[in-house]
Amino acid sequence: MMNYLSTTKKNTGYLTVFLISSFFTGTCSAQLLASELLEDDVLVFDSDTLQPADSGSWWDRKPAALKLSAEQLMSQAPGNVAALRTRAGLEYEDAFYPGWFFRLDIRYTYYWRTDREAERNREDYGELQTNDLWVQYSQNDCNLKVGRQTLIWGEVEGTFAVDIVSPFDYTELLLTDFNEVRLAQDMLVGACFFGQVQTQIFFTPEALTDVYRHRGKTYDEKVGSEWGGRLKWLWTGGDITFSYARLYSNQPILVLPSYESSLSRFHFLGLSSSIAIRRLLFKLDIGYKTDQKIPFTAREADTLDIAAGVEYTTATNHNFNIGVWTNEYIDDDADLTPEHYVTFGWNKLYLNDDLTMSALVNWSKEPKAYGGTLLSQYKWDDYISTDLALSWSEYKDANQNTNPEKAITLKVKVVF
Amino acid sequence: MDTRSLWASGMLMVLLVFSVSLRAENAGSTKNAESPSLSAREIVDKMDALQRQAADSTLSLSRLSTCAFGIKDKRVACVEEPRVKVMESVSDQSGASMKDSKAISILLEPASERGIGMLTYTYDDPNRDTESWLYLSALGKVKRMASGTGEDQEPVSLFGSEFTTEDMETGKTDEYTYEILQEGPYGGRPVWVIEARPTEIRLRKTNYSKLIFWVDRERFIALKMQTYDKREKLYKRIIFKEIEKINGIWIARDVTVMNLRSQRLSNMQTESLAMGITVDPDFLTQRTLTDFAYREKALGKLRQHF
Repeated sequence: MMNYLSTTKKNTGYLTVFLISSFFTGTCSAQLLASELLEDDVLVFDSDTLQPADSGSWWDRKPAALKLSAEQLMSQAPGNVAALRTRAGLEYEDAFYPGWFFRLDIRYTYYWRTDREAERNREDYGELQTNDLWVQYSQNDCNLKVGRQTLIWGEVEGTFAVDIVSPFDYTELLLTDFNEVRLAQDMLVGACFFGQVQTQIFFTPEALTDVYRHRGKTYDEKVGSEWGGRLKWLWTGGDITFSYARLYSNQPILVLPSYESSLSRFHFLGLSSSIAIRRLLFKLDIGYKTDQKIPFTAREADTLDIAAGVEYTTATNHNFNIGVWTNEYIDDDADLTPEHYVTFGWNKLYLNDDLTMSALVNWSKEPKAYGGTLLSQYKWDDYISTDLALSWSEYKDANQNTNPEKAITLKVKVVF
Repeated sequence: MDTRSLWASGMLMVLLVFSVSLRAENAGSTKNAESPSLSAREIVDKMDALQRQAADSTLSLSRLSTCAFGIKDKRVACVEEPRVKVMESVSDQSGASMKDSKAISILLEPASERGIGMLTYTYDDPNRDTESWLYLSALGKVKRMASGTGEDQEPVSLFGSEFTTEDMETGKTDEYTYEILQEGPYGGRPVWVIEARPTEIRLRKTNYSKLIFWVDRERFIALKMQTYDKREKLYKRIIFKEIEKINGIWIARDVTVMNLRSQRLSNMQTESLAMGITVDPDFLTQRTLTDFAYREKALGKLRQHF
């Protein structure tokens, strides 16, 4: 009996302690949670410290629409400097009157003595280039843009089944972006927008061709006029474009019997489309050209270009794109080998979007060649960026000799 | 057990029951804070509706600053020159429940990125992908982006800042469950403290295991938000300041996101804002990305509302 009472007393004691603890803990937990959630933050951030200080200098008063840039570019191949250039750029744009817009983009490039362009001319020299110098007027559903500009058609990047209006400047170094080597022309471009339908027309009074060197050119690059237009229809997730143009070819070729450089004058019919499905983007370009001069012959034939591409963004935001492009002569009498090209690209942002890594690989079956570029672009701050590229290529010449080329390119750019 | 012990135990039991019921009453009272009582879900739905209303027919000029931060004089401060992006945006809500949205943003600063334009159409219907287009002057044309809303798509940072696409989106209230944790005063305002936990569907595409909101009970706007990573550790703290009433809607014009893992913060300040303006549907199309004369003419008229 005594043992029972003793044990019971002990159990009651334990129970008492337990119940008191539960009560205390229960109410205190609620209070602790409440106080944590409702207490003021100890560390606060004063966003007023982010307001930029106006020092009164010209730098602070510079119109935002004026952009100045300076760039130094160096490209080194084994045993040889491929490029050594200093560039200054000026861009300005202004909506100077309601319904009007002006844009200027010019750059001056100095080619130092060891640059391949300067070596060709046996002296260093400077060259002024105008990328944009146009005025745009917009009224109701249409606009008109007149002046020096580029016009880019087509959907599949890195292929040229439909993207054949603006020529290229091959004195520029191509890293991974073909837009860096485009050549602007004096053009008149009009566009109208009617809901899901867009139309565009263009006229180029004196078309230009691809540029391979600045001085000592072997052919007259300015030819006659070009004109054309396209109709684009949009729907949710996709679009399709029909285009027609009367053009000169951008690239001269050697023809017989004169062995002179010659350009094709032709009609162009094109079809382009892009369709987005989830993380996939499908792209198609089809281009039909008449009267294409066949190299090293005295003949002409129609050609059909088909380019198809896919772009895919992974769950971790890697962006891949692949393009296949085939170019075929439509000539029953000739044994002409179609040309095939494949391009593969990749890019991804890292380090809070400060670092962009990209790669571009090209392969062609006929002519036999392949090459690639690995590019890293880093933004040090809002003004300074550097590009570092490793590129290599290999092609077989007419004698089936393999010609490898490698280069490392560094570009430092300041924009303010 | 003797009678005295029984009585003592009984009293303690009564006290215990009383304390439990007191907690239950407190918990219950958070679900019935005021009359009429609102559940956590109802509060969040109301907040979401107001947020979408704020994005309806709106023109804004925003400054987004991002920097690494440290503690200086017991205050959080940038320890480096902040990266600044200034953008002008026009947005409009549409659809039966005003959950579809169209928005266009043009970057004005920094100089190297000036002129970049983005057009985005987002849809409430989960079977419709988000559509977006990008214009860069270097591109010379409008490019359609592959931006599907994949179930496992990693949230994308907004211009390299600590704001992600997940932080900015609206209309996803069905993908969380909600509970009111507490109510009381915070920063001089009466608030509900609401916890949101992602559902299975949401868990596959979010970086967060839960979110906690401090919701102003009178104005139905968040004053603070904390997000927690998959290990339930505090990940980001978001503070909403400069609360103003514009066109009958409470707006936070200063939002700061502090990423406590990376020790970086981003601050979005709405320098100018006009709401309830008339936005021409044709303005939120691809034309605006390339027809600069049209864009500036239309923006000039809209800016008069600032």
